[in-house]
Amino acid sequence: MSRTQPSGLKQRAAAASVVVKRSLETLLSDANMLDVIAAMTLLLLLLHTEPEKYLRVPVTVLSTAGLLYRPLARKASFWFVVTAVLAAGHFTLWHLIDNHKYLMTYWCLALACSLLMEDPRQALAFNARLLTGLCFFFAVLWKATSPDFLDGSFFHFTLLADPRFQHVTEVVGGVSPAQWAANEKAIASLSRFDSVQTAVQLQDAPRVVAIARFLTGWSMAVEGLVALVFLWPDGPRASRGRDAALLLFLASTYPVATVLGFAWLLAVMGLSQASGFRSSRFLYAVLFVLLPLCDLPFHRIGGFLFRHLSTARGVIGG
Amino acid sequence: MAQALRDRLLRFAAPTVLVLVASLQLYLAHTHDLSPWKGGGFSMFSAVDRSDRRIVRCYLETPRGNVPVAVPDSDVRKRARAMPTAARASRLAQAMARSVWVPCSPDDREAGGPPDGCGHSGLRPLSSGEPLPAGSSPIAFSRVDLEVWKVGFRSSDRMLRAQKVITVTAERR
Repeated sequence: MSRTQPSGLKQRAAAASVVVKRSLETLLSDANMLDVIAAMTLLLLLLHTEPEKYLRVPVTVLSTAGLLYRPLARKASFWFVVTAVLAAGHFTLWHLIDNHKYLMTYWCLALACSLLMEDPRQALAFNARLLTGLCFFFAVLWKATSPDFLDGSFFHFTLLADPRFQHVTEVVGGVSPAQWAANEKAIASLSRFDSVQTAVQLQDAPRVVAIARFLTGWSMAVEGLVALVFLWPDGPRASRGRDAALLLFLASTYPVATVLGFAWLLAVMGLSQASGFRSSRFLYAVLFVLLPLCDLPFHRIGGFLFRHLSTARGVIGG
Repeated sequence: MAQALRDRLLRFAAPTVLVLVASLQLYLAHTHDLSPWKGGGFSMFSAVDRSDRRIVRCYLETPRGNVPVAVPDSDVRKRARAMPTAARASRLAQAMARSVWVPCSPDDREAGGPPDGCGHSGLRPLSSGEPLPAGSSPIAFSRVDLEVWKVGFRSSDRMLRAQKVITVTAERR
């Protein structure tokens, strides 16, 4: 093999990375930011709107039109129409939709209003900060005043009953599959329409309570931090703090509590207000692309590997 | 002046709507038992009580006594679970009272039928437009009692408890 080949490859890789970096810097520059945000929002609407036809059809038509014909997505009237469609649809589905559908509607309204202002990008960044801060403020307010939450009961129950946490509970918490199945049966027996029971006891393992307490403290701390820094008056330090807090929240929450629509929306809003340091825009954009991978069952893969490694270690140890 | 006011309104429109809706949700959750997981209050992942964990129990008062029956899934049922006001629960009870109830066939039991199947009562409501099954006669009842329950969990004793939120009655007409 020629000695010049490795250095030739290195040079080509370096050149490619410069090109990619410059392209990303151009894409995420102030000049293009509104278009990027609009496109990300429309993609989010296209993929995460409720399935009811009277909502999905108009949102799909509008989103597709906005993605294919960019000047449309630069018009305030377009976003007012999108907002009106979402608001009307979500109003009829109040009993079914999750919180991020409300936030999606407010975000589209913010886009519409910002495009009517003299400096739309600045107005949108302001709305992104305030909407994110207020959303986390109410989340923390509820957690702080919920009798279920502060004493760890909410996460304790979630670890014993929510299938998304099953592998964490079994592998880290020490709850056996038989105990998990018994808990499912107990909950089902309470919930049956013909049940006469008013209470059931769930099975547990000692480490589960500790995990629940950790998750309780962590949630309060991270969400409280996001609320605080996003509602704090603007400034360079506050800006860096905002990005760090929100990125930490996104990276630590959504791999487990996979509500992808909410994660995507927060990433878009985060990107809209990011000015603290250049890499934060890049990180929001990367998260937007990588977050769908959270739908992969990493917890199952991790649990599978953990169990097999433990077995192998036991066999080797004798 | 007008321009400044216009800019201020545009700037704060979306956050204002957020605060109004979230405040309304807070109020309804504490006064009308709106599920903390619904209504736009950003209170998901803060309470065990979720609308899909809420329990609806329905009893037909028959000559042989009160018979528990499964309430079929419907938009009315979902709304009653999300915020069980007297009006919503009554609407659901009246829908059950208007229904024609028949014994479940072996196929119904196998297929599962309404939520949780036909259950021990072995009764199901006929769907709209569905004819009376051959060899079957409608169950006589005078009244429907409907209850909506919510659940709570206490970490100290690992007990999941159901708490009745509302009971309503609808007469068979």
